[in-house]
Amino acid sequence: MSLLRVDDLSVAFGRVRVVDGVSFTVDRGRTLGIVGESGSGKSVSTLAIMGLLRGASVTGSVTFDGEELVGAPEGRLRSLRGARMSMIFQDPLSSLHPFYTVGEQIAEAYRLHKKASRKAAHERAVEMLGEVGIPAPRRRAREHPHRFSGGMRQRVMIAMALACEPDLLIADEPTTALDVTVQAQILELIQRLQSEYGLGIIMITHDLGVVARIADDVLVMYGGRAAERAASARVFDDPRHPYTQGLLASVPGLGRGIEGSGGGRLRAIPGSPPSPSAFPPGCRFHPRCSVALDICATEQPALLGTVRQVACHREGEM
Amino acid sequence: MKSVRAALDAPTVPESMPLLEVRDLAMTFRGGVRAVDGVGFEVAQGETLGLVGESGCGKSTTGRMIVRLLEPTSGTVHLNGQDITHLSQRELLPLRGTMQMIFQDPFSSLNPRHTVNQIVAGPRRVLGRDQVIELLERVGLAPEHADRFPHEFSGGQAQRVGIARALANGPKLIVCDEAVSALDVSIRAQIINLLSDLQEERGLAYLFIAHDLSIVRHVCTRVAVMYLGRIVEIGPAASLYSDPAHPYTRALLSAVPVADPKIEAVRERIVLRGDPPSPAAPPPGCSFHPRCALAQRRCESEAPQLREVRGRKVACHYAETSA
Ligand SMILES: Nc1ncnc2c1ncn2[C@@H]1O[C@H](COP(=O)(O)OP(=O)(O)OP(=O)(O)O)[C@@H](O)[C@H]1O
Ligand SMILES: Nc1ncnc2c1ncn2[C@@H]1O[C@H](COP(=O)(O)OP(=O)(O)O)[C@@H](O)[C@H]1O
Ligand code: SF4
Ligand code: SF4
Ligand SMILES: [Mg+2]
Ligand SMILES: [Mg+2]
Repeated sequence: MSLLRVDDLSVAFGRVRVVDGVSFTVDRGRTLGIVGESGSGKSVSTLAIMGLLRGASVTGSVTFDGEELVGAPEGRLRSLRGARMSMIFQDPLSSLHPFYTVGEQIAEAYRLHKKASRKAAHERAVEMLGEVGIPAPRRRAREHPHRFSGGMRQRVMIAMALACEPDLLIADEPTTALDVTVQAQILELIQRLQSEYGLGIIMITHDLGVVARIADDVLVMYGGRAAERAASARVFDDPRHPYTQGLLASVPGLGRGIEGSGGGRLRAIPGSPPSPSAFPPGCRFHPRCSVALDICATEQPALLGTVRQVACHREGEM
Repeated sequence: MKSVRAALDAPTVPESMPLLEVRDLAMTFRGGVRAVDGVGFEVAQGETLGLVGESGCGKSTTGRMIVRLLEPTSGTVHLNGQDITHLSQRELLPLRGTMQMIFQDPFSSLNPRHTVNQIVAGPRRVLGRDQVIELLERVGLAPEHADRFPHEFSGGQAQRVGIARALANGPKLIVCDEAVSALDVSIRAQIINLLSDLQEERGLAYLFIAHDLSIVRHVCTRVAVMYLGRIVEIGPAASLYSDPAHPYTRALLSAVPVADPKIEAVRERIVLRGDPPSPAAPPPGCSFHPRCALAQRRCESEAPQLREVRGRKVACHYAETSA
């Protein structure tokens, strides 16, 4: 049984449906990379899984370790969040409280969920800070977040997210604001903790390089829908959806490593990603697709396939 | 003093003279932060020089001194052979068209109360409406966009407006400071293609500041790597990427994720310890030494100077031995 199973998940704000029928699974010890351009619904999908969207209407099914979360009471969701499923974000500062020490904030979450004593929780905080590679953790635990660099704050967030040993970690662009050398440290840390704790991970990113580095499976989103879903090696080796192909062609030096090849034109996708209030009918990618057929403008392609799933009317012929 | 206009129009500028020449440039901000500490390079007409390095290493400060949004603390900037380091804003006016800057956040650099026509035509209305429309079409916008306001555009479109404005006075040099960093992957590719087409058509030179090393490799002929206010390696992009000589360049390149799981699975990665240090308290000697795996005693006290190694310039005592 998968740790997390998402089936036909849709999210609407008022009359605008920003996520439309998305399905995927995450297994223990594996990483699902969700890629897509801004506004494609990556964050909204995962916030809906965590039950963190107020004022949105969420339909479909989310089963976590066999338990249905869509429609579950808020109290139940609250006790799962932080304890068994955790989330980290792009900007750690906005999720850390400026007035409390880093140690207090990690300890607080632990005490709440594990009913531990103040002292045991503090010890756990120090232990976790050491675990994520903060030097002199006992001393640093007594400092406030503003004393930490961007990379260190992200480590603190990871320490906080993992203090209760959750089964699922959702990471929403956790390294986007960081320098590449610090990003490399954080990705390495996440991978090490995954193999230690057997975490299931959802890694949201727009950086195809990050996906290639750490994801086992990939979900490509476009306009609130799944365009393609398969094992990472398949998606990069032989992308089948025209959008996935275009996305990969937009990245310089693909397949030749960082040495790449200089110059030349990139095979860019024309136009820009659609906004949810004006999603095109039929295949949402059709106004930008170079191989669109007449049917694409009117009929939505279904996501079909077993080992790999592609939502395109031309899948199979190309 | 020779008038600026005369210097600009002088037909006597020798062919070999670089368009931009920066020497020993330094900037010390109030409070003693030495953000840029002796940077030098040249940019030839029609060339793209990449400037890379981690956050806070002084890339933007360097770019801002070159277009004279900042006055350097010391060092010189020559444009077309003319020393512009300490020109007054009034003296700079005729040069403003020659060098332009494009920023990361297109919205923050476009006046929200002005229409695109007003923005591109400029405060002194150098261009007529027809010329504005011609430029808009050249950067991939439509004529009707001339009467819209910045907030009506997507990020990619707003960046196109910024590019049109930069082109208005026939520039020779454009400083692009993270000009594509905030854009979506597919839009980023469009803008990169546009920049390289414009370069070919108009013989533009770019100083391309970016932290994305794969894009820099794609667009640049030469690359300068900065660390804590200094250039640690500068040379042709191809050899610098395939055979980096400075330990920091090597670490930086090895950290960049490549969009290919087969390469990622087997790649050697040098994971640096710690964070980049602050320019308010630079380490003594080679400022990279606390994070350098090759550091020796000497590195803790003696700052390495840039010198010729394998066809480029490198500031490392052990650049030869560390291949
Ligand atoms: N006006 C200022 N006053 C004081 N310090 C400044 C000022 N502008 C920049 N600095 C400092 O100078 C250093 C270099 O800044 P700069 O903006 O040039 O970095 P950068 O390389 O462009 O970084 P990034 O990649 O984050 O854009 C930083 O430590 C920064 O905090
Ligand atoms: N609270 C909200 N109310 C209304 N619309 C929202 C809200 N949050 C997100 N959206 C919209 O939903 C769409 C998907 O957003 P998001 O999931 O954040 O995209 P991304 O893929 O960049 O993470 C966007 O168009 C966004 O503007
Ligand atoms: S369904 Fe049609 S428009 Fe959509 S990606 Fe496939 S070919 Fe292109
Ligand atoms: S001079 Fe020394 S510390 Fe600096 S980069 Fe070279 S080996 Fe490393
Ligand atoms: Mg998001
Ligand atoms: Mg900058």
